[in-house]
Formats: sequence, C-alpha cells, structure tokens
Amino acid sequence: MTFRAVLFFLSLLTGGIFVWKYFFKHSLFISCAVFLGAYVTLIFYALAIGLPLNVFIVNFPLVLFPFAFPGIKSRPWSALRPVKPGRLDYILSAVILIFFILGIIHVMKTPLFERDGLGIWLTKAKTIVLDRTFLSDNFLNPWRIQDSPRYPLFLPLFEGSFMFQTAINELTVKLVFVYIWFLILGLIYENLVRRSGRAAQLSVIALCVIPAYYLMPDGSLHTGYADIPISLFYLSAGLLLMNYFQTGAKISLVGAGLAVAFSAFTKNEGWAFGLSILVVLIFTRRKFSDLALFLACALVPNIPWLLTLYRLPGLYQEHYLRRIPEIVPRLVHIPLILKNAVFEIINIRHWGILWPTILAFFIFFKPSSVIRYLLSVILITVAGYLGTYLFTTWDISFQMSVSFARLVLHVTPLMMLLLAHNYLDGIIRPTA
Amino acid sequence: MRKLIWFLLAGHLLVSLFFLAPVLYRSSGEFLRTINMTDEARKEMIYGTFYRTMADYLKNIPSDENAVILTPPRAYAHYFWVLNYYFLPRRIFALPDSLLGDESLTNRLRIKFSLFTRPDGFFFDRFPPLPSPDLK
Repeated sequence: MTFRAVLFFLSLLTGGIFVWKYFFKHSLFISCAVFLGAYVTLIFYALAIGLPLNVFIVNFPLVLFPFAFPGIKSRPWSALRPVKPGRLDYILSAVILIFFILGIIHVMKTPLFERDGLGIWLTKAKTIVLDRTFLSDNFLNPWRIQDSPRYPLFLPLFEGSFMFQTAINELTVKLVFVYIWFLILGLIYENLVRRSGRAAQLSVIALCVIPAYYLMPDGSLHTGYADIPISLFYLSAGLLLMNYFQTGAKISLVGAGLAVAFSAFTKNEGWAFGLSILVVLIFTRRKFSDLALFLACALVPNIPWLLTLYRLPGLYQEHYLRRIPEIVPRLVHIPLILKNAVFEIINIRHWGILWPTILAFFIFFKPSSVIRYLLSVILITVAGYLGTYLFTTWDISFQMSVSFARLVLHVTPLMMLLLAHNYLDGIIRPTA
Repeated sequence: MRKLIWFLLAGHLLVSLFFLAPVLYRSSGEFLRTINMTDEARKEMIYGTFYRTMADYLKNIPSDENAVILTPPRAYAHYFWVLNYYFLPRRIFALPDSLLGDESLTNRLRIKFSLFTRPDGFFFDRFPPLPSPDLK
C-alpha cells in the first residue's frame, strides 16, 4: 500500500512537472496545483461519460512521464534554493520544518472522524470507490440518503482516487490533505524566495506554518473538510492574477480562470471568488478579450458538472437566492453580522493576532496597485460571504459561529502572501 | 517602523504558540501512543461505544441487505451520517412513513432492517418497524 501511495503522489508531481514545462515555467508549485485541479476534473469527465473508475484512469498522469522529463535543461526545483543562506535562514528553516512535521503528526494521529469530513466528503469518496462511478443509485436515488448530495465533487473524487489506489482507510486518506498543505506552503515559499529580505520571507512562511490550520474547530487540516483545498485554489488564482497584472501574460489569466473553475468544483463559494475577480477585472478596465478569456476558463471546465448537478437529488438545500425578495427587512441584521465577523477575526485562539497584524501592515505600508486589486478581490469575496448570512434560515450568530471561521480560512493563505509582498515592497520602497 | 512590524510578527508567533503548544504536545503524545494500534482499535478509541456497537451490528448484516431510516431529527443527524459511511456498501434509504408498509418496495430494495436514531446512539430492528410514538 505504501508503494501505491507513493506512486499516486509521484504521478501527481509528474503531472505538475509536465504543466511546469509546457505552461507555467515560472512556478513549479502553481503548476502542481493547477495539475491537481485538472487531474480531478479529468477523472470527473471520465466517470461522467460512463467509464468506471479504474487503475488506468487513476494513474493516467504517469503517461505524461516521457513528455515531462526529457529535454528539461534546469531542474524544476533549482529555483527554490536560497542564495547564500545565513544563520537566521537556517534557524527559520528549522522552525518551519519542525512545525511542518508536527503538523503532519497532528493530522495523521487519528482517522477522520469529524461529522462533515466523514459524513459528506468521505462518504461520497467511499461510494465512488465501491460503485466506481458517481452515477450510481447511491448518488441519484432521492430515497438514498446523502448529506448535501449536490455539493461539488472535487474532494470526494480526489479522496476516492487515492483510496482506490491504496485502500479504503480513514487514516491514510488524510495524506491528501498533507499534500495540499505542502502545495500551499510551497507556493508561498516559491513566490517569496526570489525576493529580497530572505529572513522576512522565511518569517512569513513560519507564520503560515503555525496558525489556524491546527486549531480551528472546523475546517482545519485534520478535519477532512474542503476548506483547505479551496484555499489552495484561491492562492493559485491570486498568484496567477498577480502575474497577469504585472506582466499581462495571457497564460496567467488562463491559469487564474482554471484555478477559479477548480475552486468552484471544490466548494460553491468558489463562484463568489470568480465573480469577485471578474468585478475587479471590469473595474480595472481590462480588454474585453481578456474578460472573455477569463470567463471561458472559469466556466467551461465546470459545464459538465453543472449539467450533472441537476441529475442529483436536491435534498437539504438551502435556497438562499429565493429569499432575495425578503432582503429589505433583513438588512437590520447587518450590524449583527459585522459584529460576529469582527469577533471572529480577533479571536486569538483561532488566528493569534494575525488579522490585526495584517491590518497594521496595510496601514503602514501603502500597497501597490496590483496588491490593491487582489485585496479588492478578497474584500468582495468576503463581503459576498457575509451577504449570504442575510438570507439564512438559521440563527445568524449560531451559523456564523460554526461557519464563518472556515470562510476566513479560504482567503487566509492568499492574504498572508499579499501581506508578505506588501511588507517586502515597503522595505525596498518605503511609501509611508 | 520595521521594528513595529517585527514586534507584531513576534507577538503573533508567541500568541499562536501559546495556544498551539499544548495541542501539538497532546498530538505528539497521542501519535506515539497509538502508532502501533490496529485500525480497528484506533477507530474504537475515537468513536467509542458508538463505533463498537455499530461494528457489532454490521458484522451480522450481509453486505446486500439494506436498511430504512425515518428521516432523523436534525439533532441526531451526527450519528446518522457517520453511520451511513460505515454502513456502505449496504445502503440506507430514507422513506416516508406512508411507504413503510409497502412490501413490494422493501423487497425490491432488499430492505431488511429499520434504523432508529436517538440522542444517545442508534439501534437497528428487523423490518418492518413497529409504530412508535417517538418517531412521529
């Protein structure tokens, strides 16, 4: 089983190197993240056209091996080595490594047991492994019980592929979350390692290793929820968008669109993120062709999923949009929603003093225009998240207490990266 | 200014570590204690009586015999969804009360059990269930 698990992740890395070689030469980790989304989406397509899940489908990235490695002039990871590391670099690197290992121990110490992790995502994954499809009676029969049957299938398909390759096991399946965490940290490290002020970069990475991912009641790494995977795609989309704003490279816009598509295939909140990016692209007066390209990349990969969605029974759905006509009397809840939101982001048990620190950073160092655009994306997304609480049928305070921290978690890695860039920009070119 | 930033970062790390240290200490201890446990023993440790009872039930149910459940009250749903995971590949159906007496349906779906949830756990019974005021 260990061999198969190693093969599974090596095949994902092979796919990442393939994407790196042909599409995103500037970033190995972005390539791995984009490939991960593409891998799961392609498996979805295969099952959607009626192919059963089998060993060839799960291991198809190995086919890319002969295309990925021959002809590579520089190693994909050679850019990750810091130049002339000093004593502080070694100390901070050791701290990061220690916390990464402790994090893995924390994640892997128990099998999945959280209600949503087991009852929603892993139940679907197990069903896919047993039925070898998501078009079985287990998914389509409205009398069959599925919790939230219309939730997107990225995580069940990813977990299911891993379990199909290895075994149905609630402990080892957590390795998929370790892989996603590895990609998040790698993305941040890779993006910062080329900038000046290495100690500062490493400090930011140390920040990313430590908070929230362990301590959150719901949604953190060990729970098996979809919030960490979606934060990987938000981070990837944000970085690619940053590259697009800086260089105008269309391939980065394509990548950002794809990352949005994958985030929407992970959780429905991904649509809000995509819409926020679209609003910012419109307000920054990008060319119509760029808008169309982004929209196409964000929407087209998910069309098969949207078509499949209507075959799945709509149990336990909360139709927020139907409550829009009731919006006016509900506006009185805005102060309560804002109060709960503020109380969450200053909850030091969840976040330390991360959010006040972020606020201080953006007050003292005036952000560049690119960072401002990305901040706008985050703010619009969070505003959209908060807006949904206006329509909830639940008690607002209760629902925010169990869900809002997870929503903040979606944007936290991207926010940390913006913080780091803003800080480094401020050191190089003080503006306040 | 730079000193303030470093101060904030250090403050954040210290505050996080204050909460994180016990969690990681406990996790490491648990990890070392459970590293040699079998999967079954580990599950029993986590899910406790619930898992053990469920495992005992599942042992006696053939993999092609399904169960019916009356839609559970939301408060009991935790047991229910977790049970659903372990019950696979046997299947659980949620049927309205009116169909519970329909033998052709229950035969077609190979429903042999009924499943009841309670705040303190769950129990199976042979189908069809007796009318129970608690289920209304």
